[in-house]
Amino acid sequence: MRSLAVAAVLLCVIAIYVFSSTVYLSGFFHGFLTEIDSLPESPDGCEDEAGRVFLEWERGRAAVIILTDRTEADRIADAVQRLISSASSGDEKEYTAAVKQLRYETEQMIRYISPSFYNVF
Amino acid sequence: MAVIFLRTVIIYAVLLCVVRLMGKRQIGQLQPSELVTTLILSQIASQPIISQSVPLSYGIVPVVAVVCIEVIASYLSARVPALKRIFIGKPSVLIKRGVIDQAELLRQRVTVEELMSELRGKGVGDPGDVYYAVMEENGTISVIQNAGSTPPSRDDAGVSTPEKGMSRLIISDGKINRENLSALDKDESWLKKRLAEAELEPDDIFIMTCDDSSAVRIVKKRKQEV
Repeated sequence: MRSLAVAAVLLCVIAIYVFSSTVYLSGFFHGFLTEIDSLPESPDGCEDEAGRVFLEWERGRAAVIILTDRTEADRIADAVQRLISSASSGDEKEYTAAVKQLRYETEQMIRYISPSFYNVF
Repeated sequence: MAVIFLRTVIIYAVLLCVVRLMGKRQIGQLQPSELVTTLILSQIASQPIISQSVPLSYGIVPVVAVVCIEVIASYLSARVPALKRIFIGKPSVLIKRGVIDQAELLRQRVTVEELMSELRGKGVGDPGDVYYAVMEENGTISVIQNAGSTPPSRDDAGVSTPEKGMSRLIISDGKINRENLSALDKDESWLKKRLAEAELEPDDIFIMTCDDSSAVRIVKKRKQEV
């Protein structure tokens, strides 16, 4: 009876942990996506906005690495790095491509963590 | 994470169905749900160890979830007979009063040769000597022989024998086992008295056992050469 109670409690703890971590990650990445969407279309004078995206990513990076597959997190980290360098270089083509890549990787991550039918099966 | 958790639950259910379909013969000593747990645990536990990109929680969460599901499933199957039939199955009678149930043998995919081999392993040469042969949920075959085929017991011969019960370890390598001492309804003063009679201290004793009839057996420690 005691082992049953322990198992039930542990299962509840796991369910809460899984649910809360999914909600946290989902909230974080949706917020991150909003930050990406607020980036200007041209790289001219966008260092501040790009820096904000970078800080936002750094804020959640540790949690993302702990809660998801590291290779997925590394892809976003690479895209953020590309955005920072393209914003400082002022290369519009490279900047547009970097924003597109970061948006794509973030959307992929949102899809990856979502407990949808498609993902589960 | 939620995806991993849901996948763990689904894989557990699917594996359990597969193991149940495989039949008792394939299981061996484990119950179906235990075998499923063993199969899953060995795989998921190795993932975060092998790959550094997989977070530790991807290993810990499914492992704890599987063990919890197993504990809950085994508890429910012990309480609810219908669930026991789903999770574990039920024993099958292969021989009843010396007659082999051929249909059941076929259903359990056991050949006559295998049945005979199992019977021989249990010291029975003729199925006619078997009152019941039951294939248990874990695939082992239990054999109950006809009363006429079993050797007479002391009770049959009318010989009264005092019950010795189980021998328990009282002192192991000089250390007193108080749990076993109280299980035998003895206390340390009884032990001290017995040791005084034998002119020994606990440190001098390698093994001291006592059974339900209070018969004590002592093995002294071998003195270490200096």
